[in-house]
Amino acid sequence: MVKYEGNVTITLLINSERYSVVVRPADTLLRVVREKVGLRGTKIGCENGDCGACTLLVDGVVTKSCMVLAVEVDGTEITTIEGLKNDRLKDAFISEGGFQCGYCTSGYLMNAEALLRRTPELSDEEIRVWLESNLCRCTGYEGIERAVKRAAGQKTQ
Amino acid sequence: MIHFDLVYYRPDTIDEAVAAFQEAASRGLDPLYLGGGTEITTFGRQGKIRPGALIDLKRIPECASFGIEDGRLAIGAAVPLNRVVDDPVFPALAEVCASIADRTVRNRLTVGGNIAGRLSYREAVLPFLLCDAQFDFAGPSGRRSAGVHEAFQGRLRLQAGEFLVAVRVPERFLRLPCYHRRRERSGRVDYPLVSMLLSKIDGTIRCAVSGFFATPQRLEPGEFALSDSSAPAAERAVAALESLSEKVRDDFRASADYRKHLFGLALAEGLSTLEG
Repeated sequence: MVKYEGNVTITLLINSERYSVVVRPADTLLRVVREKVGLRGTKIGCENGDCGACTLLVDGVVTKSCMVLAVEVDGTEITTIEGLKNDRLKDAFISEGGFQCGYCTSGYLMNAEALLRRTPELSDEEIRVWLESNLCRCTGYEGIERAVKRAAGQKTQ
Repeated sequence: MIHFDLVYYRPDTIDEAVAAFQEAASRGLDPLYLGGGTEITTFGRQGKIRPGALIDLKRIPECASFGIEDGRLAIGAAVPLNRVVDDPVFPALAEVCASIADRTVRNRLTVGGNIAGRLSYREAVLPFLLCDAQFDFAGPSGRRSAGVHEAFQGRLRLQAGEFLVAVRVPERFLRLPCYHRRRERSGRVDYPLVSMLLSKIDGTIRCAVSGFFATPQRLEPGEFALSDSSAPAAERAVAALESLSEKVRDDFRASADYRKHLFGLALAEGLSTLEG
């Protein structure tokens, strides 16, 4: 049995780099990635599991990092927006105007990355259900949906 | 950010989990069992709860199991909702779970956490209420099993220091015809005004709802009226509601009258679907 109390050192494999960080067991993965590791692309939004600005991948599974304690994912492989290598997806967001202020964009990109890894053949309903996990307060939803379709090789008209 | 400190335990067995809980309780740490943690992290940040210790159940094999064992589907309490959605061996459960929270949150939110949580909706219990599921618990007094109607009465009936290990559903219930309808106030990712699950089992209509009363309920007293196929659906809905003593939820999301209206619409559609 693992037991963490007080300040403890955990190991996180983030974007293929190993980080040993000292955390409190109550620290969320979001805060550790940003404040202890220094990767600020994962955004703080509602910290309530609603907005998806903090979305990243844990062992390939799309996850809202504000709802996970860092100690829960000790030893797992984490991918943040800084480690996203899918240029086709990023280009699609640019081509289709998939962002306005850009604050929600890293969360949307990580969610879309997980969706595209899951299946290359996406239905409109599947895209809609997945994108419902994130909020864009600029309300640029149509551009985001078009970008995901373009990245999946679908027509966007 | 969670402002208070806590002790985190990650047991590998049920016995270790119980021992960890007892150790933390003996230190006055007010421990909680941790499933997906979606509620604990958000309520902790908001200051609504302040557990001094968390016992993570996700690595315990019995809590993570999902498959047929001895003629029953065993669903571990720490199984994420998306697992049952993406592998729909129990379609009624898959459909209900697919409507809870959003797709990303469902990767963390667990079946046991949804049922045992503080949020009153606990929709994952609806299929279990209809199909005579068995709930397995573990705690300081050992292990025990209970039928759903004993184990869940609006909320999970846990003894001190106990946790839900798994829910078991007899195979004969897995492929029953079902109808699920969920209505929200402001889009799909919202709490339900009415989440209704109907099934026809051995010639009788069974119905369970969440969001309609203060807590999820099976409408057992009203099912006799619902099963009277000689009466129109609207009349059956009225008769079923009249047979219930529970007060319909009336809050800022929707009035009781509006919820009753939605209930009637869903019931009419559901009866038509199940009866052809």
